[in-house]
Amino acid sequence: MSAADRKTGTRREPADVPAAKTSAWSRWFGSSHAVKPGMLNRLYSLPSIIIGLLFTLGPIGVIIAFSFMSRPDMGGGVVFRFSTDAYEKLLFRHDFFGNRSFDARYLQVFGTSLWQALLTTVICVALAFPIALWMSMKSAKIQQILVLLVTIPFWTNLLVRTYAWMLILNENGPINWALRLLGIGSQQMLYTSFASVIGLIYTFLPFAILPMYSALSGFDFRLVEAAYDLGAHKLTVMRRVIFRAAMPGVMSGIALCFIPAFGSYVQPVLLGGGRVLMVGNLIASQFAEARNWPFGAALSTVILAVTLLGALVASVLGGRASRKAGE
Amino acid sequence: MTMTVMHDDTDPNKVRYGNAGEFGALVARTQRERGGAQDVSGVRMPADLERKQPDRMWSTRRSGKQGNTLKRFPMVGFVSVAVLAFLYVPMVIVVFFSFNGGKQALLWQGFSLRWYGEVFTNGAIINATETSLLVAVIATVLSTALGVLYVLAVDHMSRAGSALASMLINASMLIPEIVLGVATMAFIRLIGLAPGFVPLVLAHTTFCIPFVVMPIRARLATIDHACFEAAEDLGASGPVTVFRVTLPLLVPGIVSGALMAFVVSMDDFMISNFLTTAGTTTLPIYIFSLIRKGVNPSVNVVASLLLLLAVVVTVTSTLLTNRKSK
Amino acid sequence: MSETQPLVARDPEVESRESGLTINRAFKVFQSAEGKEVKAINDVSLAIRQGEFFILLGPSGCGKTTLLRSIAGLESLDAGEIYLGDQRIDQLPPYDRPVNTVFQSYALFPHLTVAQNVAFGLEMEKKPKAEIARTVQEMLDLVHLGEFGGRKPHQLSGGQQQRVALARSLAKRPKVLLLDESLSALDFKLRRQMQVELKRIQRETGITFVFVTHDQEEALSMGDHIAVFSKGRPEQVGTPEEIYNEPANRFVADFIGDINFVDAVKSADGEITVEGVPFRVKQDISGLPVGAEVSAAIRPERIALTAPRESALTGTVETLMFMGADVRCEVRLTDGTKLLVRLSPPYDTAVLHEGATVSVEVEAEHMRVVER
Repeated sequence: MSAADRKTGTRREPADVPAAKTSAWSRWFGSSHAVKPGMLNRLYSLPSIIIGLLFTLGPIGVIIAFSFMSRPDMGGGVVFRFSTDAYEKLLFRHDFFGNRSFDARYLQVFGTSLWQALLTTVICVALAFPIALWMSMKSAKIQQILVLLVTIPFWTNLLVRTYAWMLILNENGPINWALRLLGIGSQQMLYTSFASVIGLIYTFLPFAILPMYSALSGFDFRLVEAAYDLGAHKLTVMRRVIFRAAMPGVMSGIALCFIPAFGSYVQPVLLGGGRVLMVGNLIASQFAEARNWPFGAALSTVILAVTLLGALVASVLGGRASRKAGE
Repeated sequence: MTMTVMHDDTDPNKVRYGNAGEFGALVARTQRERGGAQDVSGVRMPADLERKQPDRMWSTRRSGKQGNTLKRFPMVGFVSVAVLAFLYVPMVIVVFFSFNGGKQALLWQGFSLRWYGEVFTNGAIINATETSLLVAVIATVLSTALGVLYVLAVDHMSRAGSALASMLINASMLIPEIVLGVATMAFIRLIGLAPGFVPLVLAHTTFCIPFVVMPIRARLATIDHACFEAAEDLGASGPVTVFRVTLPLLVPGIVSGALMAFVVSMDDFMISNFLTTAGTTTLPIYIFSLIRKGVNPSVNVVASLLLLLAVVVTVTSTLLTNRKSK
Repeated sequence: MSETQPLVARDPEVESRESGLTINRAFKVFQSAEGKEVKAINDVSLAIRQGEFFILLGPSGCGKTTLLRSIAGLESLDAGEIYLGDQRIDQLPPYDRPVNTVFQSYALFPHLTVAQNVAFGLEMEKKPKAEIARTVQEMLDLVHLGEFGGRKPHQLSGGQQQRVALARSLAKRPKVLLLDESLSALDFKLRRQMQVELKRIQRETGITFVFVTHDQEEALSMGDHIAVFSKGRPEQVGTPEEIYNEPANRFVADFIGDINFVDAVKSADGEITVEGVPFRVKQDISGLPVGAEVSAAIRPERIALTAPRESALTGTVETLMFMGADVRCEVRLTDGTKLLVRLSPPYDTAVLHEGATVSVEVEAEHMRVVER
């Protein structure tokens, strides 16, 4: 009230209560002017977003675009002429006379990678579950130490971890040394698919343990005791109570293992010898020796599609699992 | 905090019990005193407490009777220890062989530091390390700065807006490295940049940002946002609040994020592989070229040193996040 | 009650006072989770005198905290103004208002020492270092924490933290100090002590205190004036005695202390009838038509129980509980209503025992007429 109004003791006419201001803009990005105390204006997120766009979405866009381009006659790079040759090459081959026939080779490559990735994921998750369970039942102090122990391999250089198995599986390595002692004689373990999978499992095991542990560490284990008190059988408890709670973590673990394993390069090349063609070294070679950029781009696009699909499925299942776990 | 005496007009819901054990003791004592009295005025106990045994401590530990539970699953402990061993034995073997005195990587010929000496005087390795360090430091500084700005800007976005933003930021984690590597190379070509130092740093910065954002976000969630309101209430304008209150409180998260960014940058192989030229070889790339041909005693040493780096960074980061949780 | 009491405690003195806090027709609307509009502050007008201890009282969700935050500047108003003296402050950001807040969670800066916390506001004002140090010590002494300057907040108990928060806000000598349920996290005994402390500090400094609480006992014991809030607006504004003895409506009567509601009917001018027994009430009920159905609100301590006699309300004693300082008694009237009665011992056990029939005596002037 203005001073004049107060002196005469009258009240001003009631102002209409304004409707809550919610334009589409402010609903999407929060209030358009007020900055929460202690925070910064939304615009400060732009540099990160821009560089993110530039160096992730940008490259992806380019690679998808390149997959529809043509290959120059000599050397690498692309010629800006639309063509679906690259995608055709995935499934078909042309012989000298121009006849087209179905080419299963590249599908085989996908199959090999898929198989190795699935195997890796299954074993990692199967091993991760008991250890995550075991960790989450320890006292808080010990849990911290265990998390530390699991995290250290996580941060160790991939090449170093792969190299370790090159050492171990080597002809002159400890395992063969032991085998020779036992009289069995040395085996060829390195430069096989077996070595590649071992390497993959070794690499991705922490990726499976940590999310599962994270999901289980919030779990109240008195629920388990309650279930036992009510007479539940051991396996039932495991299945219904514990597994349900761990599900979101299992989903995360599966996604975090499968996606990178599918596109892995280092382990197949170093441990697998590079002789077996997998997705990773296939793509790499297209941009190196083979100099078929569009084809490499097409392969990459397909990989991308598969992994994004996998991530989507995992997040949907994971979301559903978290809701079920909450019940 | 000591127990308070309950007056008859005290609402039990409002009294604070500092110690769960004391509460149980109080109930026990009260039950014994009141015996079977029909008088129900005064202390009112929650109904489910009546049924509990008076002298069992009300445990707040959620791990339950761990011994009991674990006994029912005996295999779990065994498998877990085996898995942990599986994770560490290979690294131990590498470190072991790094002290090998012999010329071959695997033939043990006595303890010696000769290969450490070798590595520290190897020009190629030193160059590669320097390059890696330079790239990592710059990428760390840039990604940390951008990450901090991002977290503070995004905190008060609506859910849709921040979901969009976080997708953009985390995109690099969803894409297989091989694809990101070749795609970045293609992208660089397209926009006319030659592969070299600058694109390398920029690419590193990009995939480091999500690793910086995570611990800072986590740290921010532990801070009472009323502190920021208090700062403004006391006269601090927006920027002043950020500098005097928000940032100091976020320091453990920022440092943790920076450490992670550093390690991630030092470790990167795939993406760097497609962006380097003869002049900008990073350490992982150099290592790869060495071990491509087989095991190598110098690599034993470099591997052990990188393992040490991982240990130092992880331990420091853990100590930081666990220490200042007040 | 059909008429609404005037909501603004208008006092001619306020107009001439320098720094009275005036809120004029404030509105604030929130969007609830389901998308509905919630009027958190619904046409609130208050006049708070300079130097008084003013209390915003009400159940949770009634808007009192939102109003407090609007005064501080941490929430914006959708309509209405806030004045400090003649200065309009509702458009100013919180750091420009001469108003400070003591938060419910204390919100002490964990990375600063106690002394640095208290000094924060002064540093914002760019005061010279020597002066800041002096004021900090002065403030800490005021809250009896003079030796604690070097400690960090996490080393202090809840009560000590609260006093540091108080000192921090007072250091800036604000015109108004806002306290948001500051005592609710303390245990019972400490709370009582802090209530006395707060009153003392308020008297000593002469600063206007606006205190939010849901505890009506706290409000009655501490406030100079109380505004009882419900659903975003004040139901009554008055002194503790007025609120307690002359509640404006059923909500206020029920919220404050124990109360009995008895069905009654207005039988004539200035008179209501309860179960056929007439009572001449002091309250002005001329606005009601004869025959209007009302409730008589009676405080338990205003009821006397005697041996049964005619032409009085009768009832049966159902329970009798000795509470030490007084006796609590439940009496059921013939029409089924249960009354809570508080008596001071000693009492005549011949008259008063469980099952006894008694006469219920109420002085009419202590009856408040409210809506049914």
